[in-house]
Amino acid sequence: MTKHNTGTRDEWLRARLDLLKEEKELTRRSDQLAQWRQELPWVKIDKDYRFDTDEGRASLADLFRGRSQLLVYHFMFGPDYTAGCPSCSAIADGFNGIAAHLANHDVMLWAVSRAPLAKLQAYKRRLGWAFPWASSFESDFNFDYGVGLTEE
Amino acid sequence: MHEWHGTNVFLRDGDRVFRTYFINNRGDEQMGGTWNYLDITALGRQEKWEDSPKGYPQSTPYEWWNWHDDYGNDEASAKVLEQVRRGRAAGAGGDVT
Repeated sequence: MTKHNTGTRDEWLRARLDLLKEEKELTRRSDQLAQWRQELPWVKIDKDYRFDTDEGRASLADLFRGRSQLLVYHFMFGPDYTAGCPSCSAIADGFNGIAAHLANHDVMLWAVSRAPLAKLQAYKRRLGWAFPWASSFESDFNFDYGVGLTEE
Repeated sequence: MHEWHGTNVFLRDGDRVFRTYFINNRGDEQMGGTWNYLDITALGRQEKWEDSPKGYPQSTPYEWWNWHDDYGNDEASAKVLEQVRRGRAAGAGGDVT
């Protein structure tokens, strides 16, 4: 370990409170960014994307399950993968528990991957996940929305 | 064909669907919590302190969430809500803005 400053509880508290002022500025800045983000234009989707889900074929509108908002996590699981990407799996371990809270606050959270549904379902059972996961196997969805990169 | 991660955000207005936001790379790493996800939706947290579009529902913070296995159990959540309201009245909630 390299050397580092040490101090008394009072010294720590004074330094911590100075840092807190900076942290509060960051929070205000985040709130400002959130407002600007809400002002971004909305882009209408005209293509009819179709997905395979546990409940059968679904359109993008179906994924909303009646809510007004939808989050789609593009989970790296290509058609020829034998398992989902480990980093995406670590991220999904994090959001697995919150899908119910979002669903009760007007937001559906889905994962979407290009692997066929059966592979996704088997992997979901292995990892013990509860969030909904759709396959975009035959669809252009991933290419069109910024997460499919061809070799060129 | 390569894969990469990212999170797309959509809004539905009747039959019309819009893409409102997209985030990837370092920004996507910050995602994964209820409130981080709500903050990237078009309607935000739908909490009363936000400047949300007209006509969209808003609720008070600390009152809309519940145990994940108990949504719809109004009696249990009513008791918690009562406790939250008492706490807020006593100043325990603090200023959310």
